[in-house]
Amino acid sequence: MRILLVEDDRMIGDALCEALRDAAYAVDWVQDGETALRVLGNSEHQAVLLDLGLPGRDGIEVLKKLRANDGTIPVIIITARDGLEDRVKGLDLGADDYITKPFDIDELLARLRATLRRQGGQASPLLSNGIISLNPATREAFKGDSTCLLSAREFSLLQALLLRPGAILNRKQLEESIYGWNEEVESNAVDFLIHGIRKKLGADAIKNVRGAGWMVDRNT
Amino acid sequence: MSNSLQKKLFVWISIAILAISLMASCVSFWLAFKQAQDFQDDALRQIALLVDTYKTPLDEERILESMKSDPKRIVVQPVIASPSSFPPLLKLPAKLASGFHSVEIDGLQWRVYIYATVSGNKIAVSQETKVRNIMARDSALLTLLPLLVLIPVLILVLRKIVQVEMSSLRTLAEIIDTQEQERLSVLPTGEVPSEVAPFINAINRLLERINRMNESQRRFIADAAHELRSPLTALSLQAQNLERTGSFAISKERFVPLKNGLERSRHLLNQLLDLVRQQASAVQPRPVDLAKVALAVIEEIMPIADAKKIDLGFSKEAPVQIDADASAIQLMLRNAVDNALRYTPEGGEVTVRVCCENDDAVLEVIDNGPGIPEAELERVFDAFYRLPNNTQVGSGLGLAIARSIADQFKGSVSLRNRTSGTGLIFSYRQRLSQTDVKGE
Repeated sequence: MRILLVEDDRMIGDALCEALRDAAYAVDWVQDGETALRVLGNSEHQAVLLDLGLPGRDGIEVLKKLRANDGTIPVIIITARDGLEDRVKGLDLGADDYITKPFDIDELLARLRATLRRQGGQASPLLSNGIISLNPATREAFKGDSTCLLSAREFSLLQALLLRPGAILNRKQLEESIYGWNEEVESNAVDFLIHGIRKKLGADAIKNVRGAGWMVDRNT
Repeated sequence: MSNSLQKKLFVWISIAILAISLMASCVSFWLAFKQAQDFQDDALRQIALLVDTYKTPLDEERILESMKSDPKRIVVQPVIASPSSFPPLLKLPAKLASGFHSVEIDGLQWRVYIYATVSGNKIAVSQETKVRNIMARDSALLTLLPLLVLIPVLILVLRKIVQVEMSSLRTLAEIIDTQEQERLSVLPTGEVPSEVAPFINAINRLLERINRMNESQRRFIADAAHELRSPLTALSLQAQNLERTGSFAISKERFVPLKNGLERSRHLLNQLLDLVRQQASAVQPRPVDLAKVALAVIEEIMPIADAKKIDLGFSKEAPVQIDADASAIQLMLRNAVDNALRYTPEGGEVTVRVCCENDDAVLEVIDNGPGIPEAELERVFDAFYRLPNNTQVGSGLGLAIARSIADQFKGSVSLRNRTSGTGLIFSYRQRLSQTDVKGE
């Protein structure tokens, strides 16, 4: 799951990136609105954390422009402006959620999960294809009666597959969902992670399509 | 008396009206009284003329009779030299000349007119003075009647006029009373009397000033809240990041940003306190040697310059002394030098310069950093304002503190870009101290 963070304060940006990575998200961080819009044009990300007080184009403008271009990516506003007016305005302009600084990272992560879940048209907190279920809050995977805890990257990879059951994701797509821009991609990381997941959930948990990539079964 | 303008106006004008109408009444009474007496005198004379013209026989019996029946009547009698032949009805004194006389007869005052007839006799026409006076007084009193009726009416009308005119003031007072504290609205000047208008205008100017002050205070508080939240957000994230780590090595690594976050909060709080302290303080200006202050700041800040390999220097062109507060000027200069070091690239040069220009002391900090766009030179003095794309960590308060200090000592701070090459010049100007500085 890849997140775009738009935040001009370096210290907050650094800390937030670290926290998001700890929570198994791939994070890319930009510091101004102009760059944010350019990056969002590539649709590499699954969600945006948007600060409002940005140099140049402020967050509200970014949001307006994004929605004007039919961007449907979930947006959570993170800001120190706590006026009711600001919140209403942000939500009315198409933000999916709003959180004021200072906030607890657990709350932000919960809101992020909820937003992503709604985006997928799901009400249940579990991500599932009917065979395997994944709890994004705890990183636990369930199959039949067995439960196991996944590592951060194993979770990211399985989550990417479970978000679109039946779809084949190639190596590059999987890598993108695990790593941010500045992170060095380890070779064979995908093979290594899939091996780990199969060991925990059984060999048939993830299917390999030779020459194309990997998939999980569609819910039948 | 209460301090109500309306009451005062009413009472004083009423007193004036009463006093003046009292005087007017006296005069008019006296004039009417005199005139009535003149008429009465004239009546006596006319009677004498009529008696003479128609040769009316003056029958003693009839005169006596009528005098008894009407004591107020006018008595006509011949004046005869020998009283025995025709005993006088009134015992007039002998030898009264022709004309009017006031005489006392049997203890009563009489007004007497002596008339010499064509035949050479004399006639006396007399009337008792007391009767005359009563009649004259009654007619004079009648002239006062309209005045006495009109005065209360006038006072009532006056009261109404004053009330109506004062009501516009009351309306204004009501407007002031019902003002919202958030935003004071200007008072309407259309309806008020022209005498009150300057007063209203002054109040309006005051309201405007209060509004501006409120507005800037509100903005400052909003900005301060925002600025305080940022380091707090960073701190809480950093602390939670630290809490999550299992390994000691990662903990140590994550401790660094937490310490930086704490340092940032500390710096912001100090700056905020400096600013508030400067705005609240009222110190007695004392002579301050600018060179001494400059050297103290340079000493203090040298380690930072060294760490950034910046050549921090001092240039003194004249001994300069101003009347200010040494610690405040030092705080201002430290902020200025701190900024210069922050924005000057490694290996750059920062100079603190002390000199005189005309009657002004000048304290400058000259750097060879990138400078500031001309349009932003003034705005950067606003509290919390930071240039777009400024990546340096700072509170945005340093220049606001400098300006606040400058205002306190009637000096001025400004920023300008260097004309030769790039760089920024921070400049503080203040009138030279009047006390002589000892040359070195």
